[in-house]
Amino acid sequence: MGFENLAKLMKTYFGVEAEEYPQNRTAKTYLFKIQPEHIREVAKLLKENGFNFFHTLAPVDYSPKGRELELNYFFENLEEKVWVVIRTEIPLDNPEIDSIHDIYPALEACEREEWEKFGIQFKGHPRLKPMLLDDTLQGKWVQRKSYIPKPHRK
Amino acid sequence: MDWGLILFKTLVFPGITFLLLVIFATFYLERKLVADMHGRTGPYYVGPYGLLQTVADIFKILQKEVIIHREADKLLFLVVPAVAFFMVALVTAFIPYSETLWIVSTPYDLVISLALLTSLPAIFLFAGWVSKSKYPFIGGIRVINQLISGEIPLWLAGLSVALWYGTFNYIEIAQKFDLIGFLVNLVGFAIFLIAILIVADRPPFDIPEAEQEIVYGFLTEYTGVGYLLLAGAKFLEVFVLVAMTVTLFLGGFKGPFLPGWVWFLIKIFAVYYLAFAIRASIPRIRLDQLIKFTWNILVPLALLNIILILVVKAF
Amino acid sequence: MYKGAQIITEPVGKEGDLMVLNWGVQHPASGPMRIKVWLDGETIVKVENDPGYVTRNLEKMLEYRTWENAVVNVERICFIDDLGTLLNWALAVEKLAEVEVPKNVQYFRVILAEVGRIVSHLIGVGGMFGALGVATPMMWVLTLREFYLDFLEHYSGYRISTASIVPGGVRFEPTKEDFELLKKAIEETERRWPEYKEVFKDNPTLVERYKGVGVIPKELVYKLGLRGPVARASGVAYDYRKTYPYSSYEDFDFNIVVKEEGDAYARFLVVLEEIEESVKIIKQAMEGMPEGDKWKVRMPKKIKAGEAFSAVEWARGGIEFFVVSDGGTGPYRVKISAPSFMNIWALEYIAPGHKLADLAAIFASLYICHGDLDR
Repeated sequence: MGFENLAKLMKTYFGVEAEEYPQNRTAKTYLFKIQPEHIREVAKLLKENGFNFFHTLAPVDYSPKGRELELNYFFENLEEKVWVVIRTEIPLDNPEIDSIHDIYPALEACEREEWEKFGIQFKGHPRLKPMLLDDTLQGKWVQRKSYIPKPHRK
Repeated sequence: MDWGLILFKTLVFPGITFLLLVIFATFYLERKLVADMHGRTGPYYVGPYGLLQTVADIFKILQKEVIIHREADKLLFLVVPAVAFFMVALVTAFIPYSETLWIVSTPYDLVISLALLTSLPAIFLFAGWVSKSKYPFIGGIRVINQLISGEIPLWLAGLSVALWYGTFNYIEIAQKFDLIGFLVNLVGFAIFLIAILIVADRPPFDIPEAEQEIVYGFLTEYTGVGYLLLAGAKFLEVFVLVAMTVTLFLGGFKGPFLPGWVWFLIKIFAVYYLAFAIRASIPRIRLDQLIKFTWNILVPLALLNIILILVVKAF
Repeated sequence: MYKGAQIITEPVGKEGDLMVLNWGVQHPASGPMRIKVWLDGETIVKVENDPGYVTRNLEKMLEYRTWENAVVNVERICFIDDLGTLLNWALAVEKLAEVEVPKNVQYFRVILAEVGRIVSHLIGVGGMFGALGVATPMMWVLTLREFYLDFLEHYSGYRISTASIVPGGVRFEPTKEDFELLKKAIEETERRWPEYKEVFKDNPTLVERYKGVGVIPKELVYKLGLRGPVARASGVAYDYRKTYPYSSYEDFDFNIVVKEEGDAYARFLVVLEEIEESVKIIKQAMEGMPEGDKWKVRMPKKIKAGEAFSAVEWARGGIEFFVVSDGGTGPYRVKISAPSFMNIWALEYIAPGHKLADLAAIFASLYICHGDLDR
């Protein structure tokens, strides 16, 4: 149980080291950079090791910087007060990743939102249908850097 | 019979004109008094003390286009409000404002009024039904819930008064009123008060038109004249019920010094004030809680009250 | 990949024996949001949320802002308590720029944030009564709220959307009159609060309607990542102010209000009692305000590339910003993780089985802000 166990298992299973993540002002945080195909196993591992609270899913489109779409999952172990960021990168022209909504039900809405804004296909998600955005913006993946909104300002 | 007097009574006082005035006045008073309890001013700008605000609002409503839902039954949709208003206006004919100021007086005043009032929920259900819309439909069904919870205590409490005074005639009841009668009927008075709040859909029992749940109940689809007539019917229903309470339990027009109709209006105002205070302070209760309350507490209490009155009368 | 906009075409009338009700968008109690309700008579069988009617996509708008004028977008996440989100934005940007603000600024920010919380919670308490069809408490709390708005108006020039907390400090130097107005608001609160609390808390009909309704068990809080008063009413003592103190919150003596029941009444009590705790914090901060005349630290126009994560306890729960900088004059990407967006999904779990009348009560007790929900 706990973070140390998780770090050990992550090393043995996926060969990733825990990195310090000082950018989180709020709490002590560690960063794992994983391969996108491992996300389900990692999520299960997190759940087993007491990381039962999901905070947020933050995708960042790095395409103007010559990189791909980066996904950041923020989890917290409420007992140890340790946070973990799971970072993975998926290609922007075919953004696909396994959904982990059944492991963390809190992610269902978050994944749906990011599908709507980034066009990330979460495989196995039960209701990837429009939620927040207007019908005219559907399918334009507004949050990507390639989408440039018409300015209102004159 | 003096036909001129009858015409005056039906058309001016206490007839149609007075009834319209009652709608205006109660609406204005409700706004002003509830605003006072809220710590607000209420109507202020239109007319002196905002007196004409209600008039302005009513004329605004009258200007509105009458919108009829595509699938609604047009004829019934338009007829129902008029029928509702007519039925309530009919009951007002029985109200004795003083010993001489009344339109109709029969030996069966109480029974006729109660019967007419009890048939009103059916009309309201119909209003919800012919709207062919979901919120009015739910509102209409909820009116029936009010009917089965409110009308029985109303009848039982009303009849207990008739038992005590030995008559159904309002004028005789009011004339026979005295302190002993008031004290004996005190339980009945409480039951009747709660029952009129239920029957007239006043808060906290405004379940059929609960705004936060089903928008405006059976009134949702109505606009313009139809809305005005239905809402007016609701206002008059409250007035009729309050007038009945005053006549049955508070001696109606009876009182020293002042003329009878002044006493009558003062007593009516007192009961109205109580209703407004309740509206401003008690959150709405749920439909199943209402049924539980009426059938577990109110109806048994009303039956016991009748037994009590029979026992007291026997001695 | 994408197959055109899905306009809702399925019939919204009935499904078998069930009536499908659109509770919203145009509904007195729903706010700008649709809740699809499957009804069996008066009993709710299933509920589906459909938010998105006030989406502004602030995350995208922020990418076109500079670090400082982004505050006008950030504070519009929810206008009722704009100060909490402003504080979070300031903290996140300061983390990115590695700037520390002086202690007096931190204290004053705490005061502002708590004023925002009080203003929001007062409306919350009134709204929870409003969902039951009685408007008196709402009017009373609005009267009380005016005193705090007077303070904000005198301080920043605006009653709501004050834009008063900016990266690097606070926008204006607080004057003596500001503190006097705040003192007056606090005094007024303390004078009226016993009466208000007596009327609100022990209202028998409210207890009847709210007790045991919409119970959120502790497991559901973890499962759905619920935050704020909703989580605290279910026995999860999670409050960023205590758990991960920021902006000198560790200096103040206050309690986090935690209830075990998890029903709507517990959520109501949490919101009600947090107002008292906020008043306590404001009083301490005003007394212990450190000396200092520097109210704004110089912030660089361009902030070096990097990323920062920041979270504060806002009126409706923990709000989290994930900010990425590419070395420009404005954010490269901002992710706003909103508490209302997480909390609203609890409705789909807890509403079934209740009466339709309870939906308004549960919805109000979840303490949702639509601006926060849609962003």
